[in-house]
Amino acid sequence: MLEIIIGAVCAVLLTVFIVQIGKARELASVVRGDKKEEYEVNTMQAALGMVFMVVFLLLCIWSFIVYTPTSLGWGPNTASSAHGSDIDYMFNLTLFFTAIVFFATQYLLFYYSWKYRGRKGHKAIYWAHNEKLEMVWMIIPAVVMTFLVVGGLNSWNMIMADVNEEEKLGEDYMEIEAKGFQFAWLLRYPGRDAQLGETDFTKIVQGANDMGQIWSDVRNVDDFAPDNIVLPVNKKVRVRITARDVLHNFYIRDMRVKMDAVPGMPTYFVFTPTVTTDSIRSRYSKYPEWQGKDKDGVPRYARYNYELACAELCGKSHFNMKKLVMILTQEKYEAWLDEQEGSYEVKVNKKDDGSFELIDVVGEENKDIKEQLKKKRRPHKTTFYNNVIATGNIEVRETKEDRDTMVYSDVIGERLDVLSRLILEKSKVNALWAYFEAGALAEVENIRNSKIDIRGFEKKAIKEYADVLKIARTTNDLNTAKENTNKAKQVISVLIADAEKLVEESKKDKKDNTAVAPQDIEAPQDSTLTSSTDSSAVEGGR
Amino acid sequence: MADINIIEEQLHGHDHHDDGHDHHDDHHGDKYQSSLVDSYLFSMDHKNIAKQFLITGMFWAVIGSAMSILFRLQLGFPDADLSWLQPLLGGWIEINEQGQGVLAQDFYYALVTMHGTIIVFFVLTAGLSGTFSNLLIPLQIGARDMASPLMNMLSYWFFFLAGVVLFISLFLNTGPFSGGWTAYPPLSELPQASDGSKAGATMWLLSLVFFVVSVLLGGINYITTVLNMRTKGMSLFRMPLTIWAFLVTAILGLLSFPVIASGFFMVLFDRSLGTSFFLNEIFVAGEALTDRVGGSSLLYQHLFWFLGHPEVYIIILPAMGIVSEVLSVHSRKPIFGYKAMVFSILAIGVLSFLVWAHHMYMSGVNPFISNIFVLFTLIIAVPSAVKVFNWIATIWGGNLRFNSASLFSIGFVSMFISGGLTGIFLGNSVVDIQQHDTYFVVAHFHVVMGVAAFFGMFAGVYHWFPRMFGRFMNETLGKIHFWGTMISAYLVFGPMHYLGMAGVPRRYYSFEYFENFSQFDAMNAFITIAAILGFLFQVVFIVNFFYSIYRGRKQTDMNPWGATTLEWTAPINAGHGNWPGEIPEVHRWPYDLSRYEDEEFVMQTVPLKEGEVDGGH
Repeated sequence: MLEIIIGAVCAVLLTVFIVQIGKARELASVVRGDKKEEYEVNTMQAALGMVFMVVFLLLCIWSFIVYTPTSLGWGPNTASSAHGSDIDYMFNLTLFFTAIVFFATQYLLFYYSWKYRGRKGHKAIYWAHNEKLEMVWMIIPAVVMTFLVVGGLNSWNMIMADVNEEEKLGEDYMEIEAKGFQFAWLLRYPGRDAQLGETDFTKIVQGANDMGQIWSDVRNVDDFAPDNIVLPVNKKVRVRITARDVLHNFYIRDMRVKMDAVPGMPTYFVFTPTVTTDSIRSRYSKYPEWQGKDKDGVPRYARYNYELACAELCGKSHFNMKKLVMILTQEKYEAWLDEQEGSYEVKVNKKDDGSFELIDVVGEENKDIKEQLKKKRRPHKTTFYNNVIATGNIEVRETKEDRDTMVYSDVIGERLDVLSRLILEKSKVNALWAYFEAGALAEVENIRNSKIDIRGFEKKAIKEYADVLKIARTTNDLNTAKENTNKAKQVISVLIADAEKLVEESKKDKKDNTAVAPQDIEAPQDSTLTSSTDSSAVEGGR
Repeated sequence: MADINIIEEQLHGHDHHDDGHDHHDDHHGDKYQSSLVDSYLFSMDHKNIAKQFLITGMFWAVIGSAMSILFRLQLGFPDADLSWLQPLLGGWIEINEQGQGVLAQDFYYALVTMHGTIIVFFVLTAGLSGTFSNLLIPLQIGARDMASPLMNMLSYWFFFLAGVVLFISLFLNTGPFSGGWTAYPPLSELPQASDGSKAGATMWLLSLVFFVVSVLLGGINYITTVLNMRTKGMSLFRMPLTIWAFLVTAILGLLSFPVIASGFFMVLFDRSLGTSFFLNEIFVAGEALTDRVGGSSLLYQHLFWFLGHPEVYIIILPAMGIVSEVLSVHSRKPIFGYKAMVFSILAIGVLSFLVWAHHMYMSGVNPFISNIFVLFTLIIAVPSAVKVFNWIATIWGGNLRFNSASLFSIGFVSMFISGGLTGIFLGNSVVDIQQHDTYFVVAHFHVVMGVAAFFGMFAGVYHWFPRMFGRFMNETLGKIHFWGTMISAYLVFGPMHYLGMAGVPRRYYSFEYFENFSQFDAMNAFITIAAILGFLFQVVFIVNFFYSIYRGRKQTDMNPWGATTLEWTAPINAGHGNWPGEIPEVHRWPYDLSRYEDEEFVMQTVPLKEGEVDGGH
């Protein structure tokens, strides 16, 4: 309340103040007589205009000099992509022409206002039109515009041209996808087959299949989703730009790349990065304002990164959709590529497979275990992908042991066939064992959360899990934990035996029922698995 | 006179025998407007409606610019404690972990959206075109009122209603609409995607539909009046440039606003009836909208900008008209190249319908399409340049009288040059790849159609204030207002060009997440201070305006500026009907200024002397 009163009082005082200023001057003008006052005012205002013009134009020049380090095509803010220099060039060409017009017209406007200010004995001339003159200042802008239009459109059509069929087949081109959603970017790389798989927005499952990849499309299997955009230098990239919910805009400032992401209508932008992240950092290192050190003692330029931003209003966190863009040399890029794991692997397969899930379960304090598990997984993955790519068939299985750890299903795993489910359980138990063997005790509970729901085996398994968990979690002491682990081991080995028995029985049943002739010892299992997955939601390979 | 009687008779069903001449003699309205409510509230007198538009526009201008100050505080001083605003903004000020009050993100975007909507539609369309078309069309063409005074009144009240609806939406608990003044779907259609797209968006759409009705009612009226109700001798090429500008503005409005109305209805249908005009393949809030497919957001964008681009000319053309008139009168010189000015208005009007997709170069339209739009967009630079050169040529050789009106006109030309030139960058699609949706765009359109249109409006208010209220505004305060506004406007928007050249995107709540955009803290603080300064200078104007209505220097001379046009032939504080006697007859073009040695100006009503050729030809 007090604030309101104070505010109101201030407002009234301000009003009175303003009125008084006006009054004082007006009284004076009445006293002095209108005409003389008017000429004085004219001179004063015209002079003010001249001062304003001079200061204004000088400020324009001064500020341009001050801000060159961040201006388009000047200082370190020059394009880092092949097409970008065209944009910088057109910008600065336009700047050149417009600056001339700007300075000339602003000068004339204020200078003529000064020169032709109303004063005693001066009279305006009657000059209504002059066709020649008007022609001149119609034609000059028209000619300049023609230059700008022709130059601009020439570059525009080259920059916006899509990749042609020939280039698509070549080695010097790659395609990635960026999908905007509230409020981040999802990225997708084509993986080894260099092809992005089909997507469908109805297949989107948050966390499990964010891009809505159709798993029956074999091209999807090796697509991977990195956290940041990583690209090799001097390679043409076509970004397929999509959106999941509302409009976004794929904007990388230094690459001079910008394109809306529209739900249901993929757009694209083709560009070739020409400057690696390392080179841009060394470019920045030459500018004093980038040499300052941050609190860790690292100079600012050493932390400089290309950034992907959103440039189309998309909701309340529109300003916070950053991804880093790393431009690497070809070798570094390939090394990075080798580390990437397919989304299918990470998001789907892993979810069904206990041994992989545990990689996340194991906390950072047990790095060694994590590494061990990772190592175990790598060869499985490689074999699997190679088989898939070699045969073009997602249904291709690897060795028996791979199958044990690489069960796969549709996206959520709801309609997993019983056999797969059993194998899954067995591998989970196996993994659990491995985990205990290693002596880790962290967060076993996650396994319990993985919702096992198959009849018969499931009840038992859940019960056993619960026991194991109970045993494992009764202590924090390492020795007791080891003892508990041994106990758990025993329980689990019984469980495994049961699971194996069940698997065998199930196999036997299926074998009796199936018409596919066995080719080798492993074949029956393959065929049963294939036929059963076909009947489930997995959409079949080609 | 006969016209107006017949019209009024039709409207009221009164017998016109008994009204005689009394609506000409009485300064406070005719017999139909004898009560206070009739003369000031539901007035059909175009002069009163003009004042209503102006004062309502000023109300919205204060709200709209105060909003910009709020979000500028966030941008300029993101670390400042804003909890002192809590009594006013309540829950929109969030207290963060450090115990500081900060602007809520949702609210920031709501402010940005409301600022744009209010300034573009309520202030610079209704407040500018509504005010001056109403005031000047009948007075300058020699008509007693608009063709349909009732529709004219309705035009204002639909505008008022639009304002009420939008104002109420500010108090919704989910907040006003926050999807930008362009309201692109799907954001504007999906309540799941943004709080502002809940009830706020519905009310925003409703408000703007009312607004479209207002514009159409006004526009039809302006066109009809200009084409049919000119006084004897007032040929089209004897009309002042203001009238040309208002005419073309009204035509643009009439052709473009219905298009966006259809767009708004489709958005409403999508929101409420489950249609999918603008929705396709959307997964939002954990759910795939499988039955909302087949539409296209781009369709909306086409509809929107088919209005949206003519809209910027709807805003700027009246300002151009006003400035042409004011500059000419105060330079004591005819406007240079009258016909060129008319044809450039017409050219701009036509071209404004052929350039809408230059807002959409980066929206995913086929890049080939952009070729055509680049061409037409840059062609607009030609008539615009002609206008600028003609204004400067008008000053050249003049005897310039510096008062608030002429200063704002000079300011307008300066702003129009600065903002127009940056348009050449953005109109070229290849440059727009980088500059689209950066602060360069913000700087461009604020200077060229925001500040410039405001300057045109101020010039008009200072110039025609005596015509409206029979008093003058205070000149000293007017000049303080001008220089304060001019300087602070350049200080606000000048630096933004550099932000844009550094690629800083617009509509960002905070820049701290990006190395590329976060180096401009000092500049952002500077801009905010300049904006607050600029806002304070508008207080000077408002105080001056309202003080002068009651206490300003009285107008004693019927034609204080020595102008030639008809509005100065009507008596001071003329009542409904404008001229007590006969409507003036026109004999010459409106720019016979300094033509003869003995007469500094010759009014349009003065018959041509023997052997004299009319100036315009």
